[in-house]
Amino acid sequence: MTVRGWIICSGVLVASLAGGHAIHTERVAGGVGLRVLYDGGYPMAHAEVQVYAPDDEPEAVYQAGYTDTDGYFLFYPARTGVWRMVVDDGMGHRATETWNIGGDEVQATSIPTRRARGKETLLGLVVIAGMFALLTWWRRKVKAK
Amino acid sequence: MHLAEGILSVPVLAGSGALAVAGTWFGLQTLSDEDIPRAAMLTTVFFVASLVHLPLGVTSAHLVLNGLMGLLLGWAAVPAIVIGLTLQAILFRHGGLTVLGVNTLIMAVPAIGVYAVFRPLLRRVSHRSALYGVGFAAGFMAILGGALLAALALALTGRAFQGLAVLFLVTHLPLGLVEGLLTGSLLLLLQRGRPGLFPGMASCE
Repeated sequence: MTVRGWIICSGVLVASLAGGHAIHTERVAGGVGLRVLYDGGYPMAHAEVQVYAPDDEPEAVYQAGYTDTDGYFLFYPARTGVWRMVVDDGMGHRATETWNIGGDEVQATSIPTRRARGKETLLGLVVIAGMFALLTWWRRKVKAK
Repeated sequence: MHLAEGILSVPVLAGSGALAVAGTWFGLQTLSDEDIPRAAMLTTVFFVASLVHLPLGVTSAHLVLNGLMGLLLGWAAVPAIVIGLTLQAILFRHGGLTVLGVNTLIMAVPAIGVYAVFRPLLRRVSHRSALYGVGFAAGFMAILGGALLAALALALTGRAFQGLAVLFLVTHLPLGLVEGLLTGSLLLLLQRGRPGLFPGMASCE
């Protein structure tokens, strides 16, 4: 082989080692995720999500991303422990979700996003009526003195 | 329009809390015995209105009706809003108790502004269309004022105000229009059914 031939071969070899990494993909089953909804039931789309891993520094973000247009965000917890996800739409709405990953057990610790609110509404109306009734009674009592 | 817990800095929370307490105290001083039933009724409306949600593009909002509260209650809207927000935080998880002060200011300051600007106009209107116009403007401006204050509260915690203000104003325009239409309609309804509710308002035909 000539000198020119050696140079060309060396160049090809170096180039293949330096920049020619092949990329392989693996399909991963499992993972955990959440869907974020506003109180009216509308998805929180494109909201920023920050994932905090177990045993990391509290402020160290393990992974960051965004919810999709339907409010979904999924990630793969690589180790056991309590994972925390913080979702923020940038307009004053924020939700925090924690997952306890232990073996096959996946336990979410957040509350359901939407509930029937008939009882809460009724309770609120009763409390409002009671508070203003109390205010009226107290003022009359003060005036009577 | 409720800001959530865990976003704002402690000085913003403390400062807004102190202002909300002062506003509540002053509002209670201005609330006459005769106006207590009206305040109770509007507190109920404010509390329930938060369950009516509207999708606003990148975010979601609910009815507030702080413009109507400001027009009808003046400074007494502050304690009414505090009571409504407290119950919303406890029962519906809207906002939260630590952000009660800042959320009160976001909704009550525009209500007081509306009271100062538009309440005197109610004494001058002579046509129902003008009454509707005043109501629409009050409802519309109260929402946009609240949106600006929400943007300001977030900006005080370290975010750029200008971008936030534009985002909040644009996304709250539809809600402002809805609240304007509602407030105008409710004023017409109240004027027809309960003209005594506006002691200073001229009779409109």
